[in-house]
Amino acid sequence: MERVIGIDLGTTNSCVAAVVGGIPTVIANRGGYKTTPSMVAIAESGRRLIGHIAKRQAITNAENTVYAAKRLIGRKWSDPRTEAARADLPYTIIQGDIGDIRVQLRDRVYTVPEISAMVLTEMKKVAEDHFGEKIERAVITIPAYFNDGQRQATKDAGRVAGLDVIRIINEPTAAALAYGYRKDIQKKVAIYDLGGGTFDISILDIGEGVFEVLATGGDTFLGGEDFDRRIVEWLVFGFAKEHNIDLRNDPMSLQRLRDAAEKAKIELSMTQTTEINLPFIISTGKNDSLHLQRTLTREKLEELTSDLVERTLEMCNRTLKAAKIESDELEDVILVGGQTRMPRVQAAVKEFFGIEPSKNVHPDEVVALGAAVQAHALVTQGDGEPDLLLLDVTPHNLGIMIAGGYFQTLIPANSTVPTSANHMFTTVRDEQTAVKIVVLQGESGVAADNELLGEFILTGLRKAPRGEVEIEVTFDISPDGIVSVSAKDMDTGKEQSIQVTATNRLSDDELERIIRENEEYAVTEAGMEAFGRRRTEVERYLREIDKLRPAVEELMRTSDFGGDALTKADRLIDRAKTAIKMQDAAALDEVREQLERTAQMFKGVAAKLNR
Amino acid sequence: MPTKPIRDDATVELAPGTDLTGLELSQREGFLLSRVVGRKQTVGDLLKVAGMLADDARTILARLALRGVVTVKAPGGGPIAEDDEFDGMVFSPADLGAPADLTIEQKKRILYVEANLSRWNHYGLLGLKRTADAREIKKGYFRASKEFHPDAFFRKELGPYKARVDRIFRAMKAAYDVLNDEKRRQEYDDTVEVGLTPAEERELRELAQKAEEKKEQAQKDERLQARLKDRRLKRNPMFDRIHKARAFITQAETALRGQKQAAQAARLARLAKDYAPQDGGIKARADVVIAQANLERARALAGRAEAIIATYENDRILEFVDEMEQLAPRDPAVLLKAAKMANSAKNPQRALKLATTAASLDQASQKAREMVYLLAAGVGSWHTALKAAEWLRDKDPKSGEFKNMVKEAKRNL
Repeated sequence: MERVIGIDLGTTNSCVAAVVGGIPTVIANRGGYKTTPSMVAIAESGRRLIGHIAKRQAITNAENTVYAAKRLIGRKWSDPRTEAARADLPYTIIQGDIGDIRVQLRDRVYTVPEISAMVLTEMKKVAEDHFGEKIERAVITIPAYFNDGQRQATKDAGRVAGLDVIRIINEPTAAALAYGYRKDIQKKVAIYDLGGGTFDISILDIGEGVFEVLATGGDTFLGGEDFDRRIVEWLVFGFAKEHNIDLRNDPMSLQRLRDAAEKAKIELSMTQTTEINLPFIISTGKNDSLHLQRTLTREKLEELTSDLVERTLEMCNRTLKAAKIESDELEDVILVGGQTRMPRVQAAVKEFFGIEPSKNVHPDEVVALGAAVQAHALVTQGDGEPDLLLLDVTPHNLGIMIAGGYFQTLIPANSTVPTSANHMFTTVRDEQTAVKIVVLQGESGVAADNELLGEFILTGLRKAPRGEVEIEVTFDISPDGIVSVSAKDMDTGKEQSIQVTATNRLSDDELERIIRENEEYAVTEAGMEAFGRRRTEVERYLREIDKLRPAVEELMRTSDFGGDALTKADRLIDRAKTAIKMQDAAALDEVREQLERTAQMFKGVAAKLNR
Repeated sequence: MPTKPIRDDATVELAPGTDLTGLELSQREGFLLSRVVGRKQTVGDLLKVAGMLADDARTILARLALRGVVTVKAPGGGPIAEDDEFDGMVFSPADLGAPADLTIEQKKRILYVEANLSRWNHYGLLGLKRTADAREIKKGYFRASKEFHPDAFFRKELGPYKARVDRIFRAMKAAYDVLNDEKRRQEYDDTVEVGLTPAEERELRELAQKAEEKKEQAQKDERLQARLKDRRLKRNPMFDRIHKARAFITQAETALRGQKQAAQAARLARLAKDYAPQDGGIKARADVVIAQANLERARALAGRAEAIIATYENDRILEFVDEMEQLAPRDPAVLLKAAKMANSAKNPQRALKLATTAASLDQASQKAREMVYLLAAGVGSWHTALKAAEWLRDKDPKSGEFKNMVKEAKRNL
């Protein structure tokens, strides 16, 4: 059977898992870690650094290190959240030519899916190294509350990473799958997923191997990063009060603050107080440096972030209502995401639902495990009954703009996907040949407040008196939660062509270009890696030869052929050194074998001498 | 192109009134029909002479039956197909032949459900009973989803079946959306027409089958019990005697109903009693037969009284009198006859005793009193005579004869 993987593409960390011998298993990366930071950096050499390596160099290379790309993916430049994010990010984001957000790293501009694709590529590589085989198919998770654009962009990222993304599933749903997989459970559960960047709450009814999502809600801009930022702000304001310096203006300081804040937050989940110590945080010139040293208590942290926790509970309340159930009908609450380790969050959840949250799942790994479970279930779908079925819902109302700029819902939020709805459009002028449809997603009654998915223009309509041409437009939401639109002329039954105009989705051409570039990079990268390995080998021989040389020289000088051999060896060493310096892989390859033989010969001579 | 197999033991014949000249038939249909025309035969026999693959012949036959050209009847009038998983639905070979990544069974199931989408109500669609509670509704929906959710056919080439599966899942989801909402369910229940859902039909069928099985079981049990009893009796040494006694008593009862076989009946009844002296039932039945037979014989003797008096010696006549008294000690008519016989056999004392008994047994009998008076007067027992005479006078005070009888008796006293 073909191997498939599940990838939890997180805001701060990513995780990859697969079902091995019927058991969902998390795959550790080369460093032995089960999660990999979702960080991408471009080194001075132009090399891409991903994961732990990227995180390690983040302080010294803050401008060229991207973190939390998930917060930007699929978002429009015009989104008010973009502006807010811009102030906090040490790296540069600019507006793309289709109204999307792009990232400027060194001399190149990257699309956000491209950045996410680098993380996905890394996760794919982790799995490939583990299994020793090529992996092409994957299920990728996203926050349940992601809209169509964010889903599309994530799927594009998968494509750029060379993955066939067989399904995009919601993170809380994935957690539920891992929680209920191959267990004979019959109950209603809530998944409270507070991750690095997003918050989701989903209510599920599990039974007979079917996972039915009753309702889902969330906020794609509320997560652990926000908790960190509260600490950073507290530190920054405190520092500003004392020294009248805004630390955020210095990318390096900001990165150090971010790291320290995250560390302090994690520590406070276990202790009551923690010290934040950042010596030489900023230089004031004239050989004078300022230091930052403060004590943060758990109480203070809870005070700084209480409104964030409150916001999640408000969302829980709304979602319970949408699911049409009372909180006492729930039998279990599952905590997902690193931020749920915070004692205050756990207490608040316990108080709200009146149940002790389940401790049976690993908050960082459960989502990837669930993705693996779904991937496995999909590809092993035989002729018999599937052993698992997911009935997920669409998180947002889908509708169109109607006269007066209002929003008319066609598919309400929390409808089970796949689903579809029809709407009849008609011409309002005689001989009208085109009709514009504005498709939106969101909760507001005013069209402008909702997320614009796209403007579709029905073209080539029959010329007829107004009202006579009727076009039936079908809005379809796939199991991935992705929207597609098709139209049919009711009179002739002909499929009507649709032209998509306003969308921030990358065009196929652009995607192709990115994929091609990625492949080229991969070839270079592979070459560099090969060169690196060769160089290590050659250097080892050089060291050996160097060490034996005095002894060998002494013995050989007496023979007539000895001098010649030594000259040859010297020439060889010169060539190898040049090849290393020139980073010439081919030349290095040539000298490698000869060096090996020389080293062997030297060893043999030295052995005779010692005898 | 398999279809629902028609049972081999079903009978097939040309539908009455079919105009063969007006039919449009394919070559194979025509050939098969030629084998049907003019005879009534089982499907199995037809298949033997059909000259084509049995499955093909069945399909063609089903098609002809559907067009009303032939009639196919199962023995006992049941469904003509082997099973009724698809309610006898005949599938179009074109549909079943359409390329899709599905088994024939899956295709049939999809076609069957889709064909019934408009016929079944929401409950039927989810395989539910109308009384289903929320949990059952959910269960039905989950089951349905597992079968028809697009994910159940993930990355399978479904061809024309894709749209069908889609329609089915949407219809099931719509049904669930209504039934899952209490208010909408109520509204729906108010408008939906009455009719059994397949699940209800199935349950009824099962209930009927169970009842039938129970009845059969009861009958079986009864038969078994009878057999066990017989076996128990066989092992008993008394069995043979009781068996014989039973035969004798049955014979005796038959004999009694026949003409003039009372003696034979009594003999048989006595035999029966001898064979099974412990069997109360047989004894009671034998006693009844014997008593009845005795009475018959006594009456027969009484009927022949005059002949006996004329034929036999006095001693022999008295022997008959003894027999009659013994056989019918409580029959006044017999006793009176016996009294007459005793008197003529020169034993007036015996005669008087018999007559007195007869009179006491039949208080209303004038004849018996007259006899008592005559006999009593004959032997000079005037007290008895007076009593009888007074009884007669009281009964008929106007009669001069009875008054004289009273006077005569009083005088002799």
